[in-house]
Amino acid sequence: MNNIYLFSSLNSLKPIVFLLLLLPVSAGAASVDRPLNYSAIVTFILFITATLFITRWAARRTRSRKDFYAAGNAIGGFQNGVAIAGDYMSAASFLGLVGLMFIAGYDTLYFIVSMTLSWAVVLLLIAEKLRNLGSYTFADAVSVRLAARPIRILAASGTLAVAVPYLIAQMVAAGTLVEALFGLSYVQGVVFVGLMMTIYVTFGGMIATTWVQIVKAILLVAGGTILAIGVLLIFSFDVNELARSAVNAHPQGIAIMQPGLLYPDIVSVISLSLAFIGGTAGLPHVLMRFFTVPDGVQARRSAAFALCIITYFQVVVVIIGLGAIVLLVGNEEFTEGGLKVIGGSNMAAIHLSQITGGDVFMGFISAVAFATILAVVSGLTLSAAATVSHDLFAGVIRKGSCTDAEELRVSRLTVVILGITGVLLALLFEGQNVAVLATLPLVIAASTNFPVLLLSMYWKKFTTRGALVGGYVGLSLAVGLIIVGPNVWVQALGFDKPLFPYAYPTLFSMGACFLCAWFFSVTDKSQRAAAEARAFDEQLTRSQVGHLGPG
Amino acid sequence: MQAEKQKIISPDPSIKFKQVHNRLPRVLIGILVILVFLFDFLSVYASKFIGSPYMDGSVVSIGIILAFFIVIAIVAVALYYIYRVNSAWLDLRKSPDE
Repeated sequence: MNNIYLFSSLNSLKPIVFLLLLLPVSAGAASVDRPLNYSAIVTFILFITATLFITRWAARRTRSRKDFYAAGNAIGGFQNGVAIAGDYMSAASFLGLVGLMFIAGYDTLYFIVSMTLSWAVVLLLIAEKLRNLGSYTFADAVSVRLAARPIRILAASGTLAVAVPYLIAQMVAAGTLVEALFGLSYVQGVVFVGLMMTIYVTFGGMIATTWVQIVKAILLVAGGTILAIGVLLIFSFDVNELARSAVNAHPQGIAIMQPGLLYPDIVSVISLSLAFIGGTAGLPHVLMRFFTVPDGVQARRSAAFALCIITYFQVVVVIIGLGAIVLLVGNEEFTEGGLKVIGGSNMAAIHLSQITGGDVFMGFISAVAFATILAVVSGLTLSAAATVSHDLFAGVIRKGSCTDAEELRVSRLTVVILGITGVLLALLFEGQNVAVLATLPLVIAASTNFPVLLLSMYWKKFTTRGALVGGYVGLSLAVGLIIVGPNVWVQALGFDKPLFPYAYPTLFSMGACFLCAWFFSVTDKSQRAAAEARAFDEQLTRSQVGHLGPG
Repeated sequence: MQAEKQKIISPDPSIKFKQVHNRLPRVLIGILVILVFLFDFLSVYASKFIGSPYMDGSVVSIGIILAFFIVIAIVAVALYYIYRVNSAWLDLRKSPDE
């Protein structure tokens, strides 16, 4: 009786919950006729309600540019660490890594080891100095001693080249997830994500984005932990037995415990490692988070907490991946035979949650995955809006002579434009293979943003000329080689063989960026180069000031 | 407060402070990068060895154990760095008063 009442109540809630969804969708966007998962809807309603309250609360506190871009520098180290971890733990790193573990076993370790190292790089080399040198975007830090205008144009190019494809990939994933799980159409899912991210960022700025990330990160880590415990319970917490069962179940057998199923050659492996090591330290929405804390000490703390949370989550992902192999392979309810998971390998974690916790838990995990996408696109949108308004509008077009209000207006307008553009592009990419869109951001960040930021902080002889040539060469090579590589040339454009054999070209694009940056800096004998070298010591001192505290 | 700190560091930055903030992170990251690339190279060029069970009766390979220890080492190095930075900070704070 109670169940009937509950279900009828939920049914009556359905039209209210998705009212926002239905309003902007055209009449032609028919809803998909699938059974609804009420647990997913309840979890999602709670998340949306909580985050809208957060946004309302944040909107009242967002009065200045500093509030909008950097949450008034008032976020604590621990909170920011959780938010950074939330930013980094996207749907790709949860659903994608579990799916990868399910397919390729051992080779997933390349991702896990590189991701962990990438956070050590951020903690030891980037976090404090970035916070002490910059204000709102990483271009602030790079342009302390280098020529501001060209550097800001380069940084904006790098930021937009990272943010836009990443945004589209996330929105396409959101549309697909909604289609598969919530009984709604792809169009509705994409429009909903676009609308929500625009609301979060336009009204709540960085304060709302940060707290949305914190809520989502807690939900994701909790959901992942429960899922891993569910798997371990089946094996009485015997990891050896879990591994043995995975080997027995997987069509590749013992090969899943050995390297080479996915990446057999050294160039692919090193390129992949470099993409993660450098890419993480060059992702603009992650870098921007370090400006939300009051000083370098808290920035260091943030990175340390993020490292610990992300490392823990990766261990959880490995357990979930092994559990997925054991419980999904050969299970006709969830696979079409062998490793062909219904809905694709990225659905492995979702199906596993249904096996371990039934429909209720599956609904929870699905809603968390969708919330993850929503939170990540908000962070991406904010970083893209910040680079347009702060770097391009205020720094380049107005040469620093605009008011806070003008800059904020441009920023909010950019968010709306990005929201609309993101939705339109995601609709355009419906049904397309978006793997390339997920590859691009890390490779570009590793080949442009990271080298320029690192060299500007640590190398005295680094000049504007070196930064510009290196940055643009890295950016062009990263984009160009990905286009002629297997992901685009073969999978998207349908050619037989790729012109460039590697999916991750980081070894070449990042290497070229560093090489060009070095060569064009050491051969730069201009007066400006000499002045930039002289300014290094002052910059070094400034990068240390403010972090004189325990972390 | 910021100005005071800058004043302390600018004219005669503590050598230890400089080492901890500039040389130490580079050395530590250098070691970690070598460790990770070593793992990559071993996985590709010594795949038979790295893919063999780490003990009799187990299916878990040496490579998986190695990766686990590398992850632990990265976290340990990060914590060590924080410990060193904090120690240097405390030393620097003491020195003007002494």
